Amino acid sequence: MSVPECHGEVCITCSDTAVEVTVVRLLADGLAVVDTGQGTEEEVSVALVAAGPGDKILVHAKEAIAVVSQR
Amino acid sequence: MRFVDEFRDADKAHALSAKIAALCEPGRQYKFMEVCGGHTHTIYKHGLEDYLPESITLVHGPGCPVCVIPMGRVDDAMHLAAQDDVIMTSFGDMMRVPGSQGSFFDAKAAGTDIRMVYSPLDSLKIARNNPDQRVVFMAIGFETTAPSTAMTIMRAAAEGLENFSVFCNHVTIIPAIKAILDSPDLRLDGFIGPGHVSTVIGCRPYEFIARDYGKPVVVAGFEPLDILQSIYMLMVQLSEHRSEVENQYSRVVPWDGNPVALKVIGETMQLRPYFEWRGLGFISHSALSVREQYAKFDAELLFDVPGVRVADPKACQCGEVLKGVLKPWECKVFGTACTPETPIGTCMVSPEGACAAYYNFGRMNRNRVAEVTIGSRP
Repeated sequence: MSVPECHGEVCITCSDTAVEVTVVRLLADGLAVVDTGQGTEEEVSVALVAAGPGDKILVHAKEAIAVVSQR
Repeated sequence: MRFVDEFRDADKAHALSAKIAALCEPGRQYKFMEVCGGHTHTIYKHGLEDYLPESITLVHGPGCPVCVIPMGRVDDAMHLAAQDDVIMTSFGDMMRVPGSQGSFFDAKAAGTDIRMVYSPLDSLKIARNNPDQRVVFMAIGFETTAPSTAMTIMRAAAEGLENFSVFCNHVTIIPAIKAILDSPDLRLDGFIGPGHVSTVIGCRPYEFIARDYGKPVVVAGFEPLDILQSIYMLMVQLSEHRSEVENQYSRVVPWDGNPVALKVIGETMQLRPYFEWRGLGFISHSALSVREQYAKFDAELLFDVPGVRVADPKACQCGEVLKGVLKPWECKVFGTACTPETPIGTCMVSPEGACAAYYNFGRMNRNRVAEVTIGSRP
């Protein structure tokens, strides 16, 4: 397993600042694949928001906490 | 870039700066606290203090989750990590927080199995892949991070995972703000409210600040114009002798927060009677522990945790910085013995910490003119 490192100026997991990503497709168990906007895809939990493909969501520690805009 | 360039427009920043200055009463000093470390970071990174008149001072609050973890809790976590069959998992920033016997990084270098994760969900994967070992997640953070931990506990319970637990250090922002308001050290005129914490808790929990303490609160976004506009909104309230809770960040923050997230936090965690905050001391009902119903995921019950209180190093003045009594550069060891590479105090660890933010972006020219960063970004 590769070890993640905090490279950015703001630690996306530890700070109050969440990151905005776009839902690509929904998976089972409240999970979803999202486009980070940095050319990568990640698996995050969307169990706490009503989001679908194309929606922009706010993710903190791989948990979506808010829907920013719906498609 | 959409949603970024619009909020870093230099002309708009100068226009807001002029409107803020126009509202300042001659001879009056204004002190606003930005509660959230993310705001502190933006303020220093973009040199926003240079856009404000000298009569407005920004005080950097306790909203950096790493910065408020007391040394005793770090020592407890190190003790857990040192158990033979334990894999400790932690967010990146937490790795460098010094305890009395060193940091997670120091322990990792000495052979302790401590792994960095982006999310408690990653800890869950490690637990699935290592069934013969016990995986502990070092849970820190405010209400922004607590939903992630809460959902992870629920997922672990649904899966019936037996080797995963949480060392819960989640804290709640409202009691900390109240402790600051009750502190005799500090006279504040208003608050720049945390942005992403408020996506979870909403704006209503701040109403007591406006109602009982007569201080305006503006929940703010994280771009430079968000913060300048929030300061303008605070100044408008003061000039009209109002104290209300307003939401500048309405494009993201719903007034009522995220009720589903609050529900899962409430189902899996409960308020502790009290918790020690670095710099602020013990604050009642200010932190969360795992609920009895999920006791088998509570590392504090599964392991023998020393729970010893450890005093901060004498040279460290993080407490005064966190309360806004001292500016980072007024600390005796700022930038000399204490740097982001070798932090003595927690405020120098996280990029959200006031000292690290100031060290990285502000220390070279404290009186520089407002011509950098805004509008010149690629």
